Amino acid sequence: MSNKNSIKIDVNELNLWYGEHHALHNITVPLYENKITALIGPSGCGKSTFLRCLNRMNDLISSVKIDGSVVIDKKNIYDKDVDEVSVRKRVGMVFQQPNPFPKSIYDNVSYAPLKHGQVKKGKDCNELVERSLVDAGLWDEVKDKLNEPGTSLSGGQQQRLCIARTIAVKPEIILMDEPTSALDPISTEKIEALMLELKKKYSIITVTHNMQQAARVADYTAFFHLGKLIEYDETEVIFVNPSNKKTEDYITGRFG
Amino acid sequence: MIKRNNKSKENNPFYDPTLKSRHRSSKRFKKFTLTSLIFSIAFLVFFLYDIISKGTPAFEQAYVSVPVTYNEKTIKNTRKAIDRKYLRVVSRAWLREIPRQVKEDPSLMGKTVNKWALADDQVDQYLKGHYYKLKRKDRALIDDMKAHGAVELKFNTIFFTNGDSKIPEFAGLNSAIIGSIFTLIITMLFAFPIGVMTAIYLEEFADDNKFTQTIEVNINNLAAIPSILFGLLGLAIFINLFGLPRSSPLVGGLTLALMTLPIIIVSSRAALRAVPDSIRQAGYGLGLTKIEVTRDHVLPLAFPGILTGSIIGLAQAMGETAPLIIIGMIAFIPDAPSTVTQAATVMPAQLFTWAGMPERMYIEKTAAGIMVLLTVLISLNALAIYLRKKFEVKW
Amino acid sequence: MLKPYEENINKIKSEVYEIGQSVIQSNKIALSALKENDMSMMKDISLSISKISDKSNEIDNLIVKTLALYSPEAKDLRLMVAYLKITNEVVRVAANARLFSKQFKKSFTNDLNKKDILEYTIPLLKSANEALILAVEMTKIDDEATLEQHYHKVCVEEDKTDDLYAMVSKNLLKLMTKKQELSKDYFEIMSSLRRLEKVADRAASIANLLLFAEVGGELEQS
Repeated sequence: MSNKNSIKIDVNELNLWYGEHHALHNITVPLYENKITALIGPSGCGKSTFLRCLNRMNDLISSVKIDGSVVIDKKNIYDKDVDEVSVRKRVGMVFQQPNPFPKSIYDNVSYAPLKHGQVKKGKDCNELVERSLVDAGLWDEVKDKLNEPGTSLSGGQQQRLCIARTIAVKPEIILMDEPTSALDPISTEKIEALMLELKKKYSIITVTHNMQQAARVADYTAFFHLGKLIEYDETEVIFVNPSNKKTEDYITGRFG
Repeated sequence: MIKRNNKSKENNPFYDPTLKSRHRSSKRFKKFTLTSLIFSIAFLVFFLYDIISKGTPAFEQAYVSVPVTYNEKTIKNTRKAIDRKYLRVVSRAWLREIPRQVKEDPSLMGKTVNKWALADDQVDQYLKGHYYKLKRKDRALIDDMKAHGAVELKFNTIFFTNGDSKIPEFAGLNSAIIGSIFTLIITMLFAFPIGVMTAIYLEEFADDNKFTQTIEVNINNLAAIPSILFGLLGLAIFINLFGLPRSSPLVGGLTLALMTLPIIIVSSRAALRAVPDSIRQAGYGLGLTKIEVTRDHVLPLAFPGILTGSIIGLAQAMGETAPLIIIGMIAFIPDAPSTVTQAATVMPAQLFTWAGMPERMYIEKTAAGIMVLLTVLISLNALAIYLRKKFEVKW
Repeated sequence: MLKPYEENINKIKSEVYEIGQSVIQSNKIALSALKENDMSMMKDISLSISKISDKSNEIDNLIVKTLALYSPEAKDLRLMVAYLKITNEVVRVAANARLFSKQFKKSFTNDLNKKDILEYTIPLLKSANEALILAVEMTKIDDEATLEQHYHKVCVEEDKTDDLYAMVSKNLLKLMTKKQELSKDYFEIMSSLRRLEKVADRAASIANLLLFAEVGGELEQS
């Protein structure tokens, strides 16, 4: 594995319990800057749980206990003096089901930046909204109807709106939890092309059920099984020459 | 209906002998459910028919045209203003009004004018073909007057403009309507904010532990408590402890607020729960605080449901009688209240009172009152449905 | 189609074109040497089999990577499989071309009937190279009709080389019987000319694979 990449998120000995159930076991993995890292594995292997640890979304569930460190910019985000709300401003998230707010397209994108005080209402805000929608590849389709509700768009457009909303807050890292599972193949392709563009500015970690998607877009792939990290390497290595038999069984469909 | 020709086994690969009895039992079930529906509709139709047929006559009132003399003497002693033979067919209450009539129109002084006077309740009932207590003399007089066109049934505005009265033909629903309105304003003013805020706290902020679960069970139980107990509670707390004026819309409203609170809390919680969690997740994912997520994203979506629940709670409160009787809103209230601390009555209580009066005319007034009450309730429910449809956000 | 995927496909095509070109160039030099009847020109041929072999391995691994990462289907899949086989063919073509020039230069001594030999060798080399040029050209063509035309032309050239080789071997045998002490040299010349016939065969194979990639059907050993 090449080491000329800089590490954006350094995860060390991460353990997670849902009540009594030990869901993540000693996960240690360096996630690189301006790369797309895919997390693959069978259902229930912990990949979504792991993803949600990276922006402390698991804190919303009361029965969760976490041990270990997730270091971003030399600071462990689980330290006591770190406010989880500020973590989520720097680590954005896109979900499996497109979930735009029931507001206008403009408001969807502008709400969070205004609340964070990143822009003031007016010209600055308009520019931010336009830039975010351009970067998300949605501007041309919605520039004439910014006041229509976000829910009036098609599934693929809604997901791009959610991406625009996420990047409007100017995060450094974007987490994507199966962003295209609910979409048709054409919308999926658009989003994958978008991910390849976005990685120039952001670091992307994505969970996917679809191995072929990981093969297509990811620079690095991590294979999870039963809460453990089995193998982590460049995507090309994982899909042509995996080192671990379990990985190979999963990739070739010999699992179960 | 599709004819089923599964009779032949030959050249019919879909022949299935068990189907016949399965279809039959299906048809039987359909008949059962249809019969139940017909029963329910029949009861409803019967009820409506009864009420409407009893109440519609009340919207017309008998008036007689009699010559009225206006002078100093008759103003002081109004019984002298009309001819003796009319005394029993003209309403006493109308006669009482004579001085006010002169005050409004001084040109009447010293004249004898034919006026349409409100007829006595027995005349009214006689004309409508119901039980009456008119003497033969009076009956003959009325028949004669009718032949001369001096008797008419006009639209009953008194029903809506007057308060309660011991004189049947002069009794109206006005003060009860105003009393109901005041009471309900108080109810909503207290129950709505407290109920919605409680629901928001329980749903969004409270942890899910034994304590909150107990609270939830208790709130659900409160919604099922017999309403008369709330009357006793209101009596003990608001009237005895706080010393608020008895029989006022203030106390009535507060008591009904206690009663409506569980309903509002339960329906608001359901509305909040119905908001998909993905909205909250999206909000938190953007780095928003709990209040920002709840106030700006969850509440607007839950609002139609909350509104519907509240309006239904309000409609229910409007029809409550038992608790208000306990706190005294059953008294005889001729005038509408002008503030929330004056003694008042509400529509259902007024109808309860009228139902107990001996005069025959009160039967049709009660039925008419029920019709008015039902109309208000149906309108409120229709408003709830309309508002829900209007504010519903399409997904 | 994702950009990296498209880039990979284009790279595979252009790399195969390049190694094909290097063989074609060396053949052209050999042809001018024959026309000038100056075998010393042949030393300008700088065909390195090892370099072509390395390049072929590189292309093969790129194809494997593209198959693993992008799961190509239909035309793209046929293309990947076709090029995977074509790299082998090109390496063999290069080996044959190299062997021809080496052997011919060594055996073309002044004792032999140079005029007769050259009379057949030049058209033979020309046809073989023409077949190769057409086949390699097909990597840049998308249009089905043009591809079919090229394929037919390649087949024509290949037939020509077959005929030419038959004729030249007959004549060389005659010359061999006339001067038996030179039969070894004539035999060497004949086997070097056989290499050219093989070049044409391989070119036809390449053309067949490229047609399969574009048009479809089933893979067939041509």
